[in-house]
Amino acid sequence: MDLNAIAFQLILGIASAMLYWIVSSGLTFTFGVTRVLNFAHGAFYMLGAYFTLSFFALTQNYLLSLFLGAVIVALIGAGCERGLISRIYGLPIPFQLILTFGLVLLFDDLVRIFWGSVPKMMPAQFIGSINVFGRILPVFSLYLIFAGVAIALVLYFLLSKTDWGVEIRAITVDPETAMCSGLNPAFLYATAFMFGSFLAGLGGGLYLPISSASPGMGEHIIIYAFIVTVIGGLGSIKGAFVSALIIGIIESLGALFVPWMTIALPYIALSAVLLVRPEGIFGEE
Amino acid sequence: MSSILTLSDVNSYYGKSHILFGISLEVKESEVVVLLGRNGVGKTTTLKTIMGLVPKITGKILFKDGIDLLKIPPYKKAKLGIGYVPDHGGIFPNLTVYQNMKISIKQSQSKSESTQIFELKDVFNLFPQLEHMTNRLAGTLSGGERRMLGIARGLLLNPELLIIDEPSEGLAPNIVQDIIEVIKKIRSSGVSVLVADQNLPFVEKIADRVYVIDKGEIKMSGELSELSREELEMFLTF
Ligand SMILES: Nc1ncnc2c1ncn2[C@@H]1O[C@H](COP(=O)(O)OP(=O)(O)OP(=O)(O)O)[C@@H](O)[C@H]1O
Ligand SMILES: [Mg+2]
Repeated sequence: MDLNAIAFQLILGIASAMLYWIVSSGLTFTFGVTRVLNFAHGAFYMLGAYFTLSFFALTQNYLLSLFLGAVIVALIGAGCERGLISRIYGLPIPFQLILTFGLVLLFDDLVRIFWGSVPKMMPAQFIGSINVFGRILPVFSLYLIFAGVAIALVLYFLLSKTDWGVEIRAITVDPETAMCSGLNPAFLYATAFMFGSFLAGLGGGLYLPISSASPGMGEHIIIYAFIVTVIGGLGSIKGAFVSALIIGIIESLGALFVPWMTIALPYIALSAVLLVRPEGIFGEE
Repeated sequence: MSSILTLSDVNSYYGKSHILFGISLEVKESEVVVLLGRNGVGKTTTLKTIMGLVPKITGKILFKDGIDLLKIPPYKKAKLGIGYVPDHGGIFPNLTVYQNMKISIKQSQSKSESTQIFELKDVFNLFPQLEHMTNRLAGTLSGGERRMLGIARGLLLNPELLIIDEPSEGLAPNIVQDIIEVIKKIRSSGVSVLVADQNLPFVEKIADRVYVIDKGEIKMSGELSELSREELEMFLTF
């Protein structure tokens, strides 16, 4: 086993970590603000992939389609929040589970109706590869890493430097005081949900160049997003970034050292963190 | 003097528990009114009722010349001219002192009338210590500094009525003295103040009038000098 192989595997791990990060960041952000655990986040991820496909068919421009797809998903998310999810704020978790799981089933079937059941692909993007540590690294991995870091920076900027972000953090920590300071909770919750859905949609479109879109594709990623979110601490964005990196890296290094148990590694990590720190790495309490 | 706030026969409930029983009170222009009562008698609930933060309320609550506060959602009350400083301070610990104040400033900037009385510099005049900590996280402030930031945030809304819950609670005597001075200055700038408190020596220094509350009912009201000492102490001791 040489060091080059480990370093190379590390890069691949960071690349897949970035996909987990992008999807979990939206999930944990929405939860942090609204205290609703959105199982439909995976469905938004799937919708992001399908809308990106459809926009690509129209424009032949991948990055533009990716953005437009995420915008449409953001609007769908805002619609769901205003029409349905805002009605269950403050109710016990089972209500959230039933409602958002209902949305998963609804969107899965809508996708079958509009796009069909057969998996769909788009022409490969970011083809080509570069030589790293004597191995062939697909350019796509670099694109994922770039996208993940860019989204982290945008999130940091939004939440610490814009009025909207500061107001979101205010209502997250003390809704009553925020309201009495004139902040409109309906607006902030709806826009937070919209932004979380945007990130989900972006995740779906980002992975499209090397995978296909299919109904139910959100279920696999949502499990990872939940693992990442719980390890990082529910509601913690920093936690989601760190724990996505942990999961991505132990998976890729696991593939090198213990290939027979790679699939189990995220769950083992989850169990270990829950045993030592049930609130997650950056969780409160 | 015209009336800023009027409560008539107000009842409040948390679920099935009936907390306030037929509360009636009035705050007039440029007046400091104190809701006086010991722990658990319904002071905070009365203030929250005015802000619309209690699930079930009956009766009448009017602001200025007839604005029905029961029909207005809490988040619109800041713009209407009501500032509220809750008992836990009313600050956001995860934001800097400046960000805390900025949220209030933005509300009063978008107000229709341009009669801004309290700007950042006025607030720094009242609370000089805050000026040097604008970049600190509000969660790292001491109890007294938090209270000052909370009141500063309320003032920056440029309210016509400022409501403060237990401003003297848990503070050292010299800081209580500062708060007394601040409340007097707020009053002389023409803002009406409604305070809930149980510390009689403090209340004596600020109140134009008091309402004594016990078990969710107003038992006495008037200028402190007019009220019988024995009765007052009976309502304030356990
Ligand atoms: N959210 C709530 N749900 C149920 N009951 C409540 C709630 N908040 C307050 N109460 C009850 O209402 C009554 C009045 O409480 P309130 O907080 O208004 O008293 P207070 O006069 O402000 O007391 P303190 O001086 O301790 O702040 C108490 O019996 C309290 O237990
Ligand atoms: Mg109280």
